Amino acid sequence: MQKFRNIWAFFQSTLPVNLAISTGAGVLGGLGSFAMSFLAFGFVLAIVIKEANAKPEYIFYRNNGLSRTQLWIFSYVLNDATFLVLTAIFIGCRRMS
Amino acid sequence: MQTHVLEIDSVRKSFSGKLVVSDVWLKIETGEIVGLLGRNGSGKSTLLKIISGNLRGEQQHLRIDGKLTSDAKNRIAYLNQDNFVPKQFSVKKAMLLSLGDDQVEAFCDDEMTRSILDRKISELSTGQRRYFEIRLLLFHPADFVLLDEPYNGLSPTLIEEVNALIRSRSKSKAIIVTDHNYRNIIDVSTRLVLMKEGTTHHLSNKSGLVEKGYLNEGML
Repeated sequence: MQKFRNIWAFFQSTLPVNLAISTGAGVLGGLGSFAMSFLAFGFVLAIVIKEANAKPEYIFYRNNGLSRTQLWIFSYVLNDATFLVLTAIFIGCRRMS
Repeated sequence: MQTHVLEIDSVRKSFSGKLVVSDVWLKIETGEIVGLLGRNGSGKSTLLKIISGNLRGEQQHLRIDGKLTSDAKNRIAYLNQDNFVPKQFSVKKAMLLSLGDDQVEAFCDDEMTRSILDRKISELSTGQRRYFEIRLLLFHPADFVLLDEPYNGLSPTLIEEVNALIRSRSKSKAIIVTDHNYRNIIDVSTRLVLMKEGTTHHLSNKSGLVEKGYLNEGML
């Protein structure tokens, strides 16, 4: 459970950058662009920015039993799950309106 | 109490063709505090990064409790020279992500820790942040703790507190500590190891630091 909480904390730290980039992509190119960005480019860029600006943070997670690769893989899974939830909410809202 | 042993040998690491660590042998067990000293560029930090798994050596043999292992991330806690706790976290969040429920009460049994518990890491002073990180690792469930330059940014009174904490936590852990503040290292260690030209030299007493040329006469 503690490992999951660490993965969740790492994933949360990637979310603002991913959402900002993907929202920008969505404004320019529509929903398809938002989806593409959120699932690929936005997430990767959030990781790249972390790699450049906050590399020592990986030591915090490593001390708690998680390697960099594990963090990336599990965060990507959570990223996909978040996208599915966002999609479900969007479809639900459209049906209701 | 169970005794755990960490042993590393045959470490080899070079950067841009220059051999930084070679012919290293280091063994430490629960209850010991090994003071690792050496001049700038002698390979101390590189060795600690390799032991902790944050850097791969070209060659390395790490054994924990006699078993050869390639990755011991669940057993070793490592204090980097740079601050490593994400600054967007609160102190409490970082504590809960790192410590088991049984360690939280003891961890919080400290005036400074209680005073910063609800603050964000980014709001802490350099000394408070360093002190928190050291304390976090010394209460971490890991059996082995590696501290790279722990005294950076700490006031003399905080250094005293850190040394007292290292001594008390070494009852259940094996600790390797390295710093250029050699007086504190000598003071807190149960054993001294000197790194010189990428190799470990095991010293029987502190005068070996002069004999090996790390300190000048009269510096002890």
